[in-house]
Amino acid sequence: MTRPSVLLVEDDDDLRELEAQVIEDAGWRVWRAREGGEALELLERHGTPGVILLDMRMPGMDGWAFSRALHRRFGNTIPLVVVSAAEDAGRWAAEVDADAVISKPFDLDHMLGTLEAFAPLEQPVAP
Amino acid sequence: MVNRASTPHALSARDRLLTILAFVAFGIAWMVLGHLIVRPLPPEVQPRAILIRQLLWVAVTTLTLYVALYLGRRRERALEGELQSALQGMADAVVVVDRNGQVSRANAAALQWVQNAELLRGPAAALLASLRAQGPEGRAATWTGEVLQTILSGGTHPPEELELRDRDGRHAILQLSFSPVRHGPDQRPYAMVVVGRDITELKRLERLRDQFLATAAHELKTPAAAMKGYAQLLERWTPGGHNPREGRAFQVLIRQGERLGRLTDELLAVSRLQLGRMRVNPKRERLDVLLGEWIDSLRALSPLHTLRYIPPEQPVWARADAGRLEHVVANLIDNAIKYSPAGGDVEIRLGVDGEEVRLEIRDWGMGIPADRQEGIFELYQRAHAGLDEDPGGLGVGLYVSRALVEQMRGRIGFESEEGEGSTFWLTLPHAPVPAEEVDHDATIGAPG
Repeated sequence: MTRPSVLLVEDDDDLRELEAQVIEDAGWRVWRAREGGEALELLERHGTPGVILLDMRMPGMDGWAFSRALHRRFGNTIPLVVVSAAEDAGRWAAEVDADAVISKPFDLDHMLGTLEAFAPLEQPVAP
Repeated sequence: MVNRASTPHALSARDRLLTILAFVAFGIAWMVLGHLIVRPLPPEVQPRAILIRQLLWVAVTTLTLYVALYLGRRRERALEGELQSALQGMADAVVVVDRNGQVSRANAAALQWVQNAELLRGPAAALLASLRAQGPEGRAATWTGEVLQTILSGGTHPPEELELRDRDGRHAILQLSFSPVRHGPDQRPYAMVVVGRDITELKRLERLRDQFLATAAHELKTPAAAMKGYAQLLERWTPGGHNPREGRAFQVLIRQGERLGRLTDELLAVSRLQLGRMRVNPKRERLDVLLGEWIDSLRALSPLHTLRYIPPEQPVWARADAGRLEHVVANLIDNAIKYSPAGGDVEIRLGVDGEEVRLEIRDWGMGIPADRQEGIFELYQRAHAGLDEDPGGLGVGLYVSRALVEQMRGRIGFESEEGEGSTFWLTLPHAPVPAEEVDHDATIGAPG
């Protein structure tokens, strides 16, 4: 049985670890990236994840540049969820053709619900 | 300076009338005096005296006319010079375009924007084409054709921005505004004046400000998100905590993290509103469903309060910006909770009232004293400031709420009685949809 994976792109270390913990506890595999460039490398190395959680404002390659590269390479095949604290999160999500948006500070259950919608866990694994 | 358009008369109407009257009085005095002088003379001398008198009359009137014209002209020139130097001294570029589309005047500041001064003496179309060629594709003005016609026919045209390089090769943004030059008794426009203002620095500061607001949002909300998230994680690892005290502590951390996030939103909203940078995009939204979702997510705000949602019997559609409206609703419900510290119900009703959708949020808390009800929607105004039961706050929530509701073309208000509680209401434009479209509503947002 293979667990679906989540590519988590977030520059804040604490937040990234928090999200990764919760997502792993719930049963997904998590690939962690600090910015778009790292995320692209992971995609090259591991193939396609079930869903991508993307912060927009990051040092290095930001969310816009990453999603352009992503769409060039993979088209619209991987669900993209924008996670942002910005007031314009909704507009940004539309700009990068995202499938959903989560605003910070987010609710953990809400985040897991969103993941479940795009990359369902067939057999949930107990934490 | 090319062509001189007509200048206003140097003498006022009153001055002109006085000059004519003085001249007539002088003529009459001359005739009477001349008659009195000539009459006593011997008859043989009289014809010669009359001739001399007439020659003198011609000489004096000619001299007087000359002096009057000379003084008038000098005054006119001084006035013209004054206007010219004011025009030339202006920091803004000024170009006057006549009704044939020719540049009829231009000041020194205009020279800074053109490569060739000849352009300020020819057709305005050529001048504009040259300005456009100097920069990237700007939101280009068309002030020779349609704009000129609009202005000459008494209409108005909004200012336009033009990106270009100035004479020194500096990248700049020029704001062009258009207004008529009027003259004559009916004040009909006979030319157009175009004022070009260098707004490069202003634009740079605006960009800086926007960047700052975006960065501030990110920097302030990330710690709030981490705080709330880790508290939720602790609660998840040990539901209810190792003991009830720990469980309560988790809840407080979660609640306060949430609150910090909302306060940040609130302060950023104030900045955006004051800078005129708040974007509100109303769309047709199904309010009865959205409101239910928002209320559910707000239930955790207070363990002491029950949010009672009384949904309408029929679906309710309104024109609203869902994100902004959620902010307002959260704000009003938060207030209802905050101002009923003993706990209890908060009732939320939604309904249609003619052309409007009306939303009411009612609490049975402390209410607002009558003498403190005025101006509670003003910025930093807090109705309970200084009272014993003051629960604190920034005094920005209602200000932001009113601004957002008004930008959605709605109204907001309240009824309140001290000790009895308050009802805050807001209205939005009703936007009923045809039955077949009711279930088809695509909005971007997270499912779940």
